[in-house]
Amino acid sequence: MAGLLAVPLSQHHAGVAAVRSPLIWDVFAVSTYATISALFWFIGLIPDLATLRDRSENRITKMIYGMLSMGWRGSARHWHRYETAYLLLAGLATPLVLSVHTVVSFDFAVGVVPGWHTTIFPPYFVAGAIYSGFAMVLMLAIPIRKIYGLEDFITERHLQNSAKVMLATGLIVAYGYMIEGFMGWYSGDRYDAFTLWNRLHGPYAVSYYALLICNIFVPQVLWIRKLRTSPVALFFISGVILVGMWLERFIIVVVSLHRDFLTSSGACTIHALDWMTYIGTIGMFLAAIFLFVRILPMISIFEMRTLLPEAEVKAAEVNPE
Amino acid sequence: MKRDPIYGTMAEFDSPTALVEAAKRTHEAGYRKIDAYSPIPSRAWRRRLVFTMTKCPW
Repeated sequence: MAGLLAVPLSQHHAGVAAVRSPLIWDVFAVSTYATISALFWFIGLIPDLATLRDRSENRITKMIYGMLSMGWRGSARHWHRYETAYLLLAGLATPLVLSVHTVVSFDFAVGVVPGWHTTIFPPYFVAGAIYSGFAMVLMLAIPIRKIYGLEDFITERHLQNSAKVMLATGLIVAYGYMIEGFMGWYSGDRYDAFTLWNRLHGPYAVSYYALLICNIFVPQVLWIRKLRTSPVALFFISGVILVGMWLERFIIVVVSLHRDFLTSSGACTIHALDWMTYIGTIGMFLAAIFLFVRILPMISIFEMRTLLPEAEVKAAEVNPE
Repeated sequence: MKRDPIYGTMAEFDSPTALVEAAKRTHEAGYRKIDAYSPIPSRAWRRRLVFTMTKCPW
């Protein structure tokens, strides 16, 4: 969906994608990533869909889960192929995390707009994605954990480790901001210098200071163990980080564009419709999450089964090859 | 009345350990067309069973 929306159209040949535009890289990066993620997600669900099929009492849901579980019977053969496929997809997905955010950052970095044209973008975008990704996961997982009583499955250790990842990636993001500021001065380029000045003193300066507070200063409280292990504190810190990451994109896109090489760009303003679109997408996302929690297992059932003591094969009784 | 030849045999086990032990013994007895069913994945019994069923190395 995002890929389709991003297909750049040439003005001279309406309806034909502009193949020379860097945006076309984005289409391929995002669609590849979306395909692998969807496959990884679906394959991970197959054994659980079979459990839902076996447990459902309604004929229609039995049929739907039955079709989705693709004839899963839990045979040794199935498990073997399942785990192989899952491992291969995990191996493919890991480098794709790096490539997709790198390519997304190239959309900006290959442009000439001051504030976009910088080589720090790929690692800075990858770190930012992991940073906001963990913040988003915590913000969703903490209320779900509380409401459904999943404290034994999503443990304090999981929360604390997520907090540590946020702390580390947050520092990489902070380094990115520092380099951006440093290059504004060191490059000696007057346009870059102006971009930095505009961020600090321009009409959107408030958003830049808010960004520094949300993404750099507030998350430093995660050094305190007591806050890392408190779900309430983590929920609010994650919220602050998400606001900060939104501001980062706002500054990269809007603040850079409103003072580019064209005087007319200064007239760019944010309309009510922009806010409505933004809030609407949050609504769509939340609706999808609620549907997921309602009709699919929010925690992998079969992976939890493997943790049970009954699932253990006693090594002493089995002859190791 | 002539009896049909035995097509196969099935057995149910109480624990994964018993299943793995049974798979091991069945394999040692020379049987190759075997399978096991479980709601829990286990490397031990998969290794024992699967390599007899496919030529594919993984």
